[in-house]
Amino acid sequence: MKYSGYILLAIVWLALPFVLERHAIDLLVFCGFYAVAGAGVGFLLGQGGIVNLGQAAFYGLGAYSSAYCTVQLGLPAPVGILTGVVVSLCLAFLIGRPILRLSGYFLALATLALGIICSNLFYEAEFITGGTLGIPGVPKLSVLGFALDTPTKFYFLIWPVAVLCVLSMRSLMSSRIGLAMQAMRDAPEAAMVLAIDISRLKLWMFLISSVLGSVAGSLFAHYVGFVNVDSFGVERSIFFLLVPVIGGAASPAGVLVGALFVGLVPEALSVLGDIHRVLFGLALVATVVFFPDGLIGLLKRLADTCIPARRQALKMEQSR
Amino acid sequence: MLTVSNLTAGYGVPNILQGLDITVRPGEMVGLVGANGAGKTTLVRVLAGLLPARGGSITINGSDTTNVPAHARPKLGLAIVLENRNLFGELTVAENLRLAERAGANRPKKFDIPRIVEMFPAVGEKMAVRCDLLSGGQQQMVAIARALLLQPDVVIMDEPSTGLAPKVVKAILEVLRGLCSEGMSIVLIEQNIGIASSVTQRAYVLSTGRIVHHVADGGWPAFLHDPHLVSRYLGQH
Repeated sequence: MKYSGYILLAIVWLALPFVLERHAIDLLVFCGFYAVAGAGVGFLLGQGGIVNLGQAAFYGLGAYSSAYCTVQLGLPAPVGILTGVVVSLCLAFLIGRPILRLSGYFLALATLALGIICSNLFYEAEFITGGTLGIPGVPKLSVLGFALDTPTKFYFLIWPVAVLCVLSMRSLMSSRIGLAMQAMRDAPEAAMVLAIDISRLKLWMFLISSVLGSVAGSLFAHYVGFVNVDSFGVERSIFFLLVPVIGGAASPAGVLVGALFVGLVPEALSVLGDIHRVLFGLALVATVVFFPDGLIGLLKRLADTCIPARRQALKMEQSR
Repeated sequence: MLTVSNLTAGYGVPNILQGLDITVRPGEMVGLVGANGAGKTTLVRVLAGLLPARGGSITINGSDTTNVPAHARPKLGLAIVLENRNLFGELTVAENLRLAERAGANRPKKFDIPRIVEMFPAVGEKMAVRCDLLSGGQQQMVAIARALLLQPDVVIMDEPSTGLAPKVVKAILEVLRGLCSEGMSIVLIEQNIGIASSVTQRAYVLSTGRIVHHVADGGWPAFLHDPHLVSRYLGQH
């Protein structure tokens, strides 16, 4: 009974590609990319209180690394993905060390600047990125000789990857390092006098976040088969930030919900015509105002109210 | 054990701390008293490494720690109980203590959680409770417990009596006395002269960033009976 909700979710997840149209599956695959990249942003936001407005830079580095390695150099896809991770780690390390000394708005602005600079570099470095023309012909991924050449097949890769990221985040949060991260977020000065090196901790978190951004970007490149600069602008970074903000940054599972919201709601509203962008904006504002814990907080409250076992557990916890 | 020599520090252009000299010997509880704005909290922040010193030196157990980062100072034997406790509110008492225990793991072990529970039974009863749900007194006890688990030689306590009931303050001071008798050095930063004089052997009086008076060992009665000194430096009668 304890896992019945998860089993039901898994059944729905397995069944969806067989009942949905190709376009809807395509959207769900994109939600998966948002979830992986957004997990990194959510990790920084939820555990470190760091607003990262530059995740598209790492997303782009991952995508271009994969595209360049596979198309220009003819290397296998895993080498491209790994190259993206290494390049992203190097950039995150070099940039993270100085900018993570900042805090609050200044740090957010520094990450925004990183996103803008990288977006311009992607545009200018034509010899690698192909400039506005981009890099076409990125090969489809294949796992154990099985080509992931349809949205349905990719759906069965990207969502397990997203869930794995979320579970890794969750396990990290409940570890001793996770405790130190929470301490840093709650009272940074107290954390420092308790021998927690918060500069190093923040840098580690930034590195982890960059890896997730890069992996999402690499998978994106292999999925769409074409990368160009339009996919890695500031707007994309804001999208990645919305994922944990809407879903709930405090809970790793919130990014899955947030990614679905960010990926599906604009599309659902688009049937209403040009006004859909305004409506999406209103939906975002309403979510933030009415559900400050994110949609995952709302879902938890609903579950606590509707599921008798959870209701009882909550009562017992309150009475303690 | 703790030596501060000619220490200067500040936030803006003028220095707030202007050439402080403080010495604390092993097993001694020394007061640092002063009115609001005297520079007490600035001194705590400099000692903790949260604010850089602009001049002078800080030595703990013979090691120059002036430029040692805040997170490395506990390894040299320094623990700080910051003003307003500064607990990690979303973590439980046990988690707060565990973080400190781990941080002090490389130092000679003097305190462990069972001993802490013996010293502060109220802490033991609240192990699974989030720190932001504790009373002020309980929070202060957790803050002190957390500092002790760093296995320090010197503890600096910034206004531990603020906002606490007299009974709780008395209990905490008793614990501090016991720690000194075991050889621990304590610097008690206090605005309340009554508390400082009741528990410390001697004290430094801080005013506008300078040590303006030193209450020598056994000198508290004379100081307290000099209304001119008390009102001049502490604004109290």
